Amino acid sequence: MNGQTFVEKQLLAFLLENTPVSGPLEPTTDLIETGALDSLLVTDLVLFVESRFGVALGAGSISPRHFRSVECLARLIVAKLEKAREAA
Amino acid sequence: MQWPLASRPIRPAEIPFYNLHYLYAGRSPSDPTMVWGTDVDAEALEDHVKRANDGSSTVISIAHVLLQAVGRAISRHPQLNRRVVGHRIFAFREINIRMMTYDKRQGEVDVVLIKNADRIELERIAQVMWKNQWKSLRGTSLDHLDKQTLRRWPNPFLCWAVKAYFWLDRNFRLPKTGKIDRISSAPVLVNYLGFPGAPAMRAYKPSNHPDESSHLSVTMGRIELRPVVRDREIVVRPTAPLFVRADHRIADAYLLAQFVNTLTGFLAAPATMESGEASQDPKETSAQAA
Repeated sequence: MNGQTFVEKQLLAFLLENTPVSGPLEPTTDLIETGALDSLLVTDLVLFVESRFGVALGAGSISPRHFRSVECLARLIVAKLEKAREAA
Repeated sequence: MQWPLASRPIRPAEIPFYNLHYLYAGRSPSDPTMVWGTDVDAEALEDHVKRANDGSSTVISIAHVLLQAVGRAISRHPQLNRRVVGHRIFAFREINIRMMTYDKRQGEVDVVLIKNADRIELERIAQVMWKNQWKSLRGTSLDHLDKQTLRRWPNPFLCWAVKAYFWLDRNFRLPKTGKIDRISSAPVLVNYLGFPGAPAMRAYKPSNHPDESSHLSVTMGRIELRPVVRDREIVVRPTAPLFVRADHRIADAYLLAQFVNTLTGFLAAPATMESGEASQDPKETSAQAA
């Protein structure tokens, strides 16, 4: 399992537990389209990402590009993790 | 330090009689609160949010469009951009809105003040709200810092100070320092209770703030599919409940109905807000996260 897939699975598990999204939730499910993405969920997601992956998401990261789907958010997290690894 | 209210009160001759009736009446048992509930057809609203997100650098939600609509609606009905101070009514100098957000970690409500809400653009509203949410997470939002300051005060002193300040703010036109007192610089409080998991809303009575600064309160509930009659046919439409509280010392039911009509009109066709929007430098609108 590569890093992207691992992060996606973790995020999906978190979302399934914390959102009453009707219908299946896939990595590519549009969270904006489904109306699942509100301030409470974004807050929960930011905290979850910080505690689970040690990645801090700035206020500027809360963009449709990064939060549209689990796939997009996982891509951001993996990129930040790789950047941190290179810097270390 | 700022004086959010105009220096002279609205002349009694300009205030309708029944508003004066409530204004001068004793506090109990008269209740000047009116609540008007209605439904908003939310199909265009949902489409608008989807389209707005396609070209935005910030996630835009229905709550942000609601804020924008309230600011625009108040600018159409400036008689509502007022507050009661003692037995007098003052107009606010600017159109400001306060929005409630919820900090789940602290179990506290966080208040954000959006200044010049009649002119600020949708994306800017979203930026201010997310920035506040992010700061709130770190415990560094202005509201958090204010609460930290207040919690340091000994309890009896805090109770006395809060009671004394609210009494003064209710009865005298006070200047605002822009710190703990800034939230009373808005005539309206906006609450979006359509978060995932929220039950369907059939009735809602928004509370009145103790300092009586926000005589208006706008609450929108979760969008759900509901049967409605269109062209004498029953059809299923995405519909959102909307409840507006107003103070009879400032508004009557006719004015409230006009405001509700304007607001529901903006929410049912959000693109109309953009079309009449003057281009504005975000710095000029100086939204202030509380």
